[in-house]
Amino acid sequence: MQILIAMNSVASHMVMATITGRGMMHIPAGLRKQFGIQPGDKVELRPTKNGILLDRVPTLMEGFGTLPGIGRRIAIELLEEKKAELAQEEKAMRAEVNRMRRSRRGEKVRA
Amino acid sequence: MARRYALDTGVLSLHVDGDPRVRPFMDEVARGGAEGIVTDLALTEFQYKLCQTAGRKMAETQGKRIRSSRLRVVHSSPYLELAWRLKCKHRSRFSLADCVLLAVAQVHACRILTTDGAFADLREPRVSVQVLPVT
Repeated sequence: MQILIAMNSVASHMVMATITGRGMMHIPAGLRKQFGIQPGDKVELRPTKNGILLDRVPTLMEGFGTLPGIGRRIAIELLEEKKAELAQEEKAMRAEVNRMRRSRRGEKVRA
Repeated sequence: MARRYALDTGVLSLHVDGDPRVRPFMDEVARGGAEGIVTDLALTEFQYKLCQTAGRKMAETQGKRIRSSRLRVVHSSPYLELAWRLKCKHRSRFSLADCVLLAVAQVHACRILTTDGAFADLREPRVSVQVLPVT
C-alpha cells in the first residue's frame, strides 16, 4: 500500500493538499480509504527520484500468521541451537576447571 | 498496574506462525491493554533467523512491523549489569540473551512469554513465566 507524492506534476485525477507551517498535510478520505490508512497507523516516508513515497507500515496483528510453518521451525531451531551452545559452554567450563585443578596440584598441564 | 509481558525470540516466531496460544497476548498488547517488551537482542535474533529462512525482505518487513507497533523494543545496555549476575547464577540453564530478557523482566516486573521449557520452574523475584512449548 503505497502513495507516491510526486513533485512538479498535477494530473487531473490528483487532489491538491496544502502543507502547513509545521509540515503537516491532510490526506483526503478517499485516498485513506483506498489505501486502508486508519488513525494511529504508522507510515514510512521514503524519498525517491520521482517524489516522496508514503508507505503504510502493516500493524502488529497483520503480521500474525503471515509465515505459517516457518515461524514454528524457527522457534524449534532456536531451542536446539541454544541447547547445543549451552552444552558447549558447559563442556569448555568443566575443561577449564579441571585444568586449573591440575595446575594447582602441580601436574603438568597441556597448553 | 497494567500487565507487562517480556517476549522471547521463540514467541515472536510463533506470532508470525499464527500460533493461537500467542494471539490473546498480542491482541492485548495491540489494543493497549498490556505492555509488550522485546529486547533488541531478541529482535535481532528474530530478524537474523527470518533472513535465513524467509529472506532479507521478510526480515526487514517483520522488523519494521514490530518496531512501529505497540511492542516496546528496549536497548539491552542498561540491563547488562544485572544480566551477567543472572548468567552467573543460572550458568548452564540460560544463554546470555535469556539473562538479558530475565533482567528486563525483573526490572519491569513482567511475565515472561517463552517457548523455552528451562524457564518453567524459574524462581526470581518480580517475574512470572508462561511457557508456550513447541514440538
